[in-house]
Amino acid sequence: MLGRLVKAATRPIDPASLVVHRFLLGSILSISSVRFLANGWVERCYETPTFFFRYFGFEWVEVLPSPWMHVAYVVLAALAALFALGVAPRITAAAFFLLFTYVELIDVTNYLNHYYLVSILMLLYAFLPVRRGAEAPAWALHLLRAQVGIVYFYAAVAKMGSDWLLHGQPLGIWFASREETPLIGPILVLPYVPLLASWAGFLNDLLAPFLLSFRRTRIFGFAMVVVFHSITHLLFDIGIFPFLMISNATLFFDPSWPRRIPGVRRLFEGERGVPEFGRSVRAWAVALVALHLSFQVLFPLRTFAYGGDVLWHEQGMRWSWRVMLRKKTGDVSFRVRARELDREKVVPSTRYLTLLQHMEMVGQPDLILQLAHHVAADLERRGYHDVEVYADAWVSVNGRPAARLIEPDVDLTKIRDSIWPARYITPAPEGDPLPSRGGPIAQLFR
Amino acid sequence: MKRLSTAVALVLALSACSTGNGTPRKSPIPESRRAELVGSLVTNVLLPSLDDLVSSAEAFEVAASAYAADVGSAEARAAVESAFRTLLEALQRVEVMQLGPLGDPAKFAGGKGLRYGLYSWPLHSRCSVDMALVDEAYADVDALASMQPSYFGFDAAEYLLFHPDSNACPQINRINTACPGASTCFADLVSEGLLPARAAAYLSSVASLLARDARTVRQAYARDGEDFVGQIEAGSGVYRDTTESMTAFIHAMYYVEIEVKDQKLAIPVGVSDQCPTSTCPDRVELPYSKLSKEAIVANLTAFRDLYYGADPSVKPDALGFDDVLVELSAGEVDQAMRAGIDATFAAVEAIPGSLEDALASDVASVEAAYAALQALMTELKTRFIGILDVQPPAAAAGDND
Repeated sequence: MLGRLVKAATRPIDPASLVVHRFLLGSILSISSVRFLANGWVERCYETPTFFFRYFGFEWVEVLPSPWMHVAYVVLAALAALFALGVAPRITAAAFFLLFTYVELIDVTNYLNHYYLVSILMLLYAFLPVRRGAEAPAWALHLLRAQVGIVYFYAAVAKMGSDWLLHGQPLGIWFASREETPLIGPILVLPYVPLLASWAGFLNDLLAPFLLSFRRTRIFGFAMVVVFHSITHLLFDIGIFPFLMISNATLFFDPSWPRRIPGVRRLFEGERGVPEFGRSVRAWAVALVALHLSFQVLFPLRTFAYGGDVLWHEQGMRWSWRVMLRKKTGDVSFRVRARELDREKVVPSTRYLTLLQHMEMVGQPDLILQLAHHVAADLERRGYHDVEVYADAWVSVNGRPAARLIEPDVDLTKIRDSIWPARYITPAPEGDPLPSRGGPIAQLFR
Repeated sequence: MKRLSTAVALVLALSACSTGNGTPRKSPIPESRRAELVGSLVTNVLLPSLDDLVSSAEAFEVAASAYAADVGSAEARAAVESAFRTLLEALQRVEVMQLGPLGDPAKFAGGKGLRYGLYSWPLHSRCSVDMALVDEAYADVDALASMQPSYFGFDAAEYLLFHPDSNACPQINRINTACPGASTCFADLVSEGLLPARAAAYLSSVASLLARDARTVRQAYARDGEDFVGQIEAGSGVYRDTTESMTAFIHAMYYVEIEVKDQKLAIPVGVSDQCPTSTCPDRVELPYSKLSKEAIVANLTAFRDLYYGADPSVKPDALGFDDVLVELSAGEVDQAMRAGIDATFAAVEAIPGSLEDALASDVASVEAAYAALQALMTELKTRFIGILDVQPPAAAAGDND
């Protein structure tokens, strides 16, 4: 059995689909980097802020001084273009992975699930033996397919909550603002459309990897994915995500599919033969692939160990493909005490943050904790002693009444961020979200 | 398979050609209703407020002129104080409507900073006013207008109308070091009894400028003037659509969060870390007239009227944010906003006497007003803007997932 698996995994396949995917991925990333520069987002995300939210374990990552972040994005655009064209693809993929992951690790504010996916894909490409003109081992393609399948599957798992499946939220809130979208706008605000769309999104994510995996259902699966991502592109500001996922879906086609496109065939002509590797390299490759896939399968599950409502406490939210699941609005201010102060004082969180950072922070307890520590450090630097910091954090999730997110009587300077369940976060509020058009699913069956 | 390949290539090519520039405007309020809403806010709140500003500024100009001509008259004094108070209420209402030309160009689309000509708070320089007073540098109204706004705005008017016998300059300033005997000695002005007349004359010039600036402001908005309200109503000019002009009203309402809560209340009552002691009564907005509470009430009144689309006691049926929240199945949010507005008014009005006096005798009442306003602002910053899909002021767009 194992032998058959190994044989199947190492059998040579046509690299054409991988080369096309590499071209698409590199092109998308190159355009995305240029777009980031052109929109002034380098200034906004890296030069304007005076404080950055750190990732747990990566607190040591520092931003580069001006103009080096601009330079970094120019280099990213160039690396992605070279990668797309197949110029030293493993080296350019590795370099892109390192630089891109670095810029993403600077500030949690900029976290997006699809940026995480980009890092993973480029890391994989740094190791995959894919060369134009040479056959590739089948496992290279299967690994990428598995990665994409995991993304869809966990995106579906994340939607298995009452807000999404029973109340049609937050799509109900978002659709209400999209009535003027060309063609589909008027449909979005009809009764039960948010609920139906929620189910459609859930089924798309759940079924896409399976429908794409079988020859008979592949074309239907691809059409579904294209329609789904095209609609999300029309409705939401989600950048490259739809294009990235549509290009990823092409990985599920027959490896030779690009050869059937007239005029493109000759691009893939040339020598044949899978690169040969020694036993030890093969063993390492198997171990690393197994390790990677195990991590990808297990890591998103950690949120279930925390219990409670992940949309509220956000523990296990990142790196778990929990995409577009909640509409959170809120406000945070800090109450500070110090030996030199004769009464509690309020420090607005906006003093230290850009508005984008503030909007991201208000719903994420670990970021509130980080800023509380920064406020304490700032006060101590200004000569205050025995500083205590408490948070008044009010958050509304999917239109529920605003509730306290952080225990108001917990001195946050005494709390250290960790991977353990956070006791400074309040329990999620009871009650239903704002009703979407038509009402909850229960209404349908009355 | 060939057809599939072609389809894939076509889809990807089309996707790659698409840009984000076509992102649709986002508002849960239908376009026609949104136009009605901004029309209501313009007609029932903004334009009447600007008319009130002009009429009260012109009345103040007349009263200040009469007072300058007869400084000893108790009647003239009472009239100018009354006119000052009326102007305060009108001005503080307009403070909450800084969308367009009134607003800071860095904060508001179409902003021309006209507000600073009327009122430079929280920036002020009372020492500058004292120096101009001593130098008699106020007679030429045009020359005065060319100086910094702190020389001639409403805060200068307050200082001049309720001027103490002391001055706001440090001891090393020339108006203090030149004493006695020099023409630039402030103490001599006081001892010779010249201060009231000079202050009244200066006030009269300031009042003239206020009236002029108020007319300029109205002209910038008026339909028969530069017609900025036309841009608001049509969602044109500096606005891409009525979603943006509606959002501009909401951002203007944030004045109550940024200025009233965090400045006018939090600092004097001592909850802000910008007040290093338990309370900071000297940091109230209008310390000389002791009308800081009235200023807050006027700010809240404007906020309420913008929320309801009009003064609810005058035009209860006017279209406002309350109506659209109900139409969006968010009646609960409307109820919370109504309750918050009522509770805030009640708490502010429960402050005994002036804010200045309460800070000395009943700090708890001011803290209660702050807490009530904080609760209202939490509702504004969470569900209100969440339901209306509006971002806080100055928030830039970006990608999500």
